[in-house]
Amino acid sequence: MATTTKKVGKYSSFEKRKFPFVYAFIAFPVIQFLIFWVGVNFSSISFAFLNKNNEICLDHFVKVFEALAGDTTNTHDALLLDTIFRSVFLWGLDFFILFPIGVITTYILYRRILGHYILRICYIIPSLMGAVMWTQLIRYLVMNGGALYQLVSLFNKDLPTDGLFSSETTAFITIVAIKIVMSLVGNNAVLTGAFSRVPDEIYESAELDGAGFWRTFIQIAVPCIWSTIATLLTFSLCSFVTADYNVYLFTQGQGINGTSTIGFLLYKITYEISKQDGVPYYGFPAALGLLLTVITVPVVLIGRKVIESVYTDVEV
Amino acid sequence: MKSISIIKTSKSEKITAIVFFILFIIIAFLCIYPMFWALNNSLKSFNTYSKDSFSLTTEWAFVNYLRVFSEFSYDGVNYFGMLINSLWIVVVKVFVNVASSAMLAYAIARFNFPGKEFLYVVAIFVNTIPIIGSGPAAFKMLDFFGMVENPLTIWLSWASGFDFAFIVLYGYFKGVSPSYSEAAYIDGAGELRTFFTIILPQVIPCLVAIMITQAIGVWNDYGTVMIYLRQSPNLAYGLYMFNADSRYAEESKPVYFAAAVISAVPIITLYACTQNLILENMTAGGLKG
Repeated sequence: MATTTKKVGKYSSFEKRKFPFVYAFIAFPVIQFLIFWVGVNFSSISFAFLNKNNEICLDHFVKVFEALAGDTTNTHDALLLDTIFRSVFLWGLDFFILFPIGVITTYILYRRILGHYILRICYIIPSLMGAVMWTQLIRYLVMNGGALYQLVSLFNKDLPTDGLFSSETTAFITIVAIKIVMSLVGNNAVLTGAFSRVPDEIYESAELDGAGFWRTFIQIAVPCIWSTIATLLTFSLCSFVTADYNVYLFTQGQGINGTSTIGFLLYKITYEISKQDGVPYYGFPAALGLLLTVITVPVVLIGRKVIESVYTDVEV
Repeated sequence: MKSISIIKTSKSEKITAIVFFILFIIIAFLCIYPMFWALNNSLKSFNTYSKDSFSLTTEWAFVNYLRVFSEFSYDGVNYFGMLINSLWIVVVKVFVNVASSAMLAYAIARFNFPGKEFLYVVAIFVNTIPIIGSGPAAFKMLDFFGMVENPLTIWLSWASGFDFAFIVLYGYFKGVSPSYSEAAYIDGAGELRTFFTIILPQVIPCLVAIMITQAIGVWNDYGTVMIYLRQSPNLAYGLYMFNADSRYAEESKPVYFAAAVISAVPIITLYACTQNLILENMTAGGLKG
């Protein structure tokens, strides 16, 4: 029997015979990773510390702090501090409110509420249509005369005449409202997969014991799929700096009407560089990214520990 | 799975169920209304659309759908060209990404070898710790390698084996009993044969689920094309630019809506047909490391 071969040291002779196959198998993904992840990030970090003459300097970090103080030279007219606050706000909304609502919604759909199949398809339609189409259509609906514009105007008569995206006061609120609708069933596929792995007998015995819907959800369903929830929450811990670049679509690349986010700003800078108009400036985004990474890493590590410690003794 | 129990339990829970149901219907309406609005306006003439874009169509101007293939274009690439670009980008990007992730996940989940734990920790690190602001550096590197605007080589940058697909596949490969591969070894099968004929067929539902969810994302991805493949516009980028570019007349709007509807149909159909497969096979959990 293959697995009964004698184990000398850490690896048995059977395992050692497989090394050539294993290393050949992982060679491509590892080399790809070294070039396109390690190489790119090493290059990005070096941009943060090098000036035009390839001398080590902190000039780019100084410019980031100038931007934090209100200088908009390198941020395409967006105020950096506001941009960061906006990103954190959207992330907090997602992490603390929309994600839990998404778990509840997915659970109710999973327990087969009337029309669950059709409802699930309806909810996924914005994602299926894609950000481009959905945001373009929403843009029409929030223009002056659009359905959403008319609806909001019933409650507020002082709306901007060029549509909800044309004013600082309404543009960001509109983006938040759209994000809420689009995120209500976020992670539906992964969460449904997790719920479906909980044996029906567990729910049935809870019901026999007299547990109601909410008690079954909170004390049975959530602990049973906590490892999946923890994984998704851990991934979303770091998303405040990368998500919401679709603001680019809502404002057609402008993003200055009080709507810019970190994801948007970094995407816009990359896009402007890719157009190769003028001299590309790599130092500022690299320094900004590095500073945000340094701030984010401890938050992610601590957050992950906290998330994983919630339910540690549940086995399904 | 039995039907939802809140329907048949206490009175207060019945009320909860009804409230949720009404709420769900409202959210569903909000989710499908933009699509319905686009569909409705795609069947109007420009005159009717410009007078009232919210009335129900009575014209049924299906000619707009034919005009998509003759009038909808961006930078010299027509709708059919964009459709071809969307298709090859989806097929190539999904295939290389899933293949790379599957190779790495299989090796780490099923074999004991020096570096295994390190690679697993790296995969978890990459998925949980963001390295921010590397977009410009990535563009510079790809430009240096001549991969920007080059469909023959750009796929190399898409073939990451360390992303979310790894997390899902690792769990699946780990869950396949070792006795299958042991039986194959006894029968004289080599490693590649064991992988392709014994292990891979057992994770095909999971692979297909990952591929479909990734295909949906890639089909709608304008960001990558906007930076790296502007000369090969896909439908998502073409739709964005057609709408954003002031050179295109307002009169083309019903045609734009028709183009948007046609673009969404394949992906909505794909999801509707494979919903159960996706929902039953996508799971991720238990990060250690």
